[in-house]
Amino acid sequence: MKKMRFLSVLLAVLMIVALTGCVGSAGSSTAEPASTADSGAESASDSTSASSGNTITYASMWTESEPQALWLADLAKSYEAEKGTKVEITWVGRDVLNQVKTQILAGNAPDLIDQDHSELSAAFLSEDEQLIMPLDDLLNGPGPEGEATFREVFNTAFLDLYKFQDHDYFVPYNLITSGFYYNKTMWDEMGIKAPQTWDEFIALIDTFKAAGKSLCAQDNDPMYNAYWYYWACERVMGAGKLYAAATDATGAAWDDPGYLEAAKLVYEVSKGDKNAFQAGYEGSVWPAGQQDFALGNEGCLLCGTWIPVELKDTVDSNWEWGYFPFPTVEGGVGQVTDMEAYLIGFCIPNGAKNPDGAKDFLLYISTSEHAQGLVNNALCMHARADAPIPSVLAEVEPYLKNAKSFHLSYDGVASKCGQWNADVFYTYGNQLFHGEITPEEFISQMKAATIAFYANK
Amino acid sequence: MEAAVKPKSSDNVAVKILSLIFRIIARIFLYAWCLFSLYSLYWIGISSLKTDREFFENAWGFPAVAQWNNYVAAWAQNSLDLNFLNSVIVVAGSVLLILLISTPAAYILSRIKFPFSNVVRGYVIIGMGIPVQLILVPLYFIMNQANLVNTHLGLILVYTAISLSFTVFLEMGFFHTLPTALAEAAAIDGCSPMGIFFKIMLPLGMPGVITSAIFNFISLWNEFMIALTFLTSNEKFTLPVGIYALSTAMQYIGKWTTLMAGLVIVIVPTLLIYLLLSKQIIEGLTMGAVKE
Repeated sequence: MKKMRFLSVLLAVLMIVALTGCVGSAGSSTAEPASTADSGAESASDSTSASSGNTITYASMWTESEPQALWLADLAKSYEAEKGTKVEITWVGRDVLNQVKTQILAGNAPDLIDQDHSELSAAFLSEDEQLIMPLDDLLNGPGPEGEATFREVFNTAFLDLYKFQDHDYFVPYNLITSGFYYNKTMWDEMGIKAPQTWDEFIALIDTFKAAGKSLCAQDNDPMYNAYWYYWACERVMGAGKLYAAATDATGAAWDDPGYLEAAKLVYEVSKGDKNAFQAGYEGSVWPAGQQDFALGNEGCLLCGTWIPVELKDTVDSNWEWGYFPFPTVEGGVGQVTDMEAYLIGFCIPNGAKNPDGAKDFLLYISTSEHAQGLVNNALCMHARADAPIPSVLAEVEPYLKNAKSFHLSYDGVASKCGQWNADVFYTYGNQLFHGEITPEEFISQMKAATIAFYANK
Repeated sequence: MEAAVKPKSSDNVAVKILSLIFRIIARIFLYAWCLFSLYSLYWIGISSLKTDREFFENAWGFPAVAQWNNYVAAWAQNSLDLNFLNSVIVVAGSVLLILLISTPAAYILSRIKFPFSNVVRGYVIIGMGIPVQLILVPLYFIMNQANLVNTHLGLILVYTAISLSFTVFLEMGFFHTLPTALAEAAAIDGCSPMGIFFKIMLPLGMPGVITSAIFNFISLWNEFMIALTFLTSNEKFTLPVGIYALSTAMQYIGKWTTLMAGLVIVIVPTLLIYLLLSKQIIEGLTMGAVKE
């Protein structure tokens, strides 16, 4: 009986210990902010282990099986084989900045992070605080293949676009731009040439309707819908104007007639007027629109240079990719020589354990031979000025080569004014794009909402 | 003397009609739900065998030629093989540890009286009412302090801790139904308490233990939130987290049929267990519900 009693007490104690999950001291109050299921944030002592001279830790925006990730993984392996330094890559995905910011603030930063330069800039650089290292010494130093400077490997206009307080903070590797993509085979069969002006573009609406198709496909994603007004503003008034209106707390910028003219362009293609899009576009869910385009049911798609990769398994064997930039507007400031430069690249956070190793790795992957891998395997444009363009993006090349100026994607609004973008621009921009409000209503609501946004901030 | 024949009252007829209507509606709903569920599984299955173009061009029809390479791509090229192995290790380890702790605990709590046994029993049952989301943050701090984040062991311990309450409660029900006379007869014959447990009660209560194992396997095999929180590197991901990573990756390269194949790989083990052991699961749920 005594034995039974002892056993029962012992089992009960074991159960209590197991239930409370006490596996160590919980007294510390300096533990890092915990993760949430939504963001899946990494711990401060997670797989991105404290790096040493023989290890470089890298938190990547790609997921493991994406072509860009495969390219980077191969480079990491060859770098380790040649230099004896392991590159530990964590394929975090597009949420990488949410996760690494916690690590940086907790003093456990990875050595390298990659993302869109605009997002890196918005996340890590402010007037009060810079959480990443300037890379002037790296870019002004020797290039990876004996160039006088690393900087000259790239188009310096790209680098200057993302300077902050006259310093360079990023090393790019992937160049993206946006415009209209179409099937040249289909257009040639229909006897249509790519439009250069807005009037030529609008005339194609009826041409495609007569052929039983729509001119444009649209996925009704706010980010894709926003392309239209951003580009319309750029063509009417030039780069920087949408950003100026987004950051004007008085709302007075919206009184400029250029914003109304841009809104009229968007309204003209919407369901409220000529309707350039497929039936039901206002209710479409990504990727239905772009896939329908790949099946040949629409004439073109306003998107980024990633679209040939996303649709490569849907398009038929006769498909030939064509491109034309957002058409120019009569009397407008923006021209086809004003191109968007959306760059993906690296930064090195403050507190990185192996910044020298990280810089060496950046030089290594930026050689012309290694850049070719991104072009061949991922069908992406490399940021090197001399990198070849993938054949699917051949028609983009002359516009990039002849560009006289570059501007940020979405005029920098999406990355630098994220909250305004989501709360104000997406709300009324979508309504304009769907034809639910007139251009005049759009302007008055944007003005009022911008004033209210900053008043409540 | 003949018994008087009571005429059926109108109330009885109304109740019967209402009951019949309710049963018809319930059956319609259940059949519709079954059809919807079966069609969803069927659609995932046939989609996994299409090309990506067919997936959009012929969304509801059969594939022209079955694309089994989608399964190869999902399994080998997207680390689902590694994710599968991780799931086996974590779930098997968790189920084993859960049973090792919960079975003797349930036996003691259901059959042995000791000081504060009611309190302990209540403590166990209260644990079932605590949502895991409530303890996720402090649990993360604890695991981080112990350097158990992103480890199989850490996840096994978390799964064990959160599953014990329900498992102990379930097994208590089983052990409670076992006849006391057997234990008393064994004691009279000189069997020790440990002997009674291992040689008599545990074999008799094995259906309950197996049911607990099945329930825990199914719930932990599909568990996502905790795995996503405590596993931070691709090589440690379990299947549900691997599928999440796969879906994110596939959408950026348009490989929707590979994603469908990945979903089939995840669904199949759970489906097989349900099909093979459904009778046992239902028996396990209802055993102990009726007192002797």
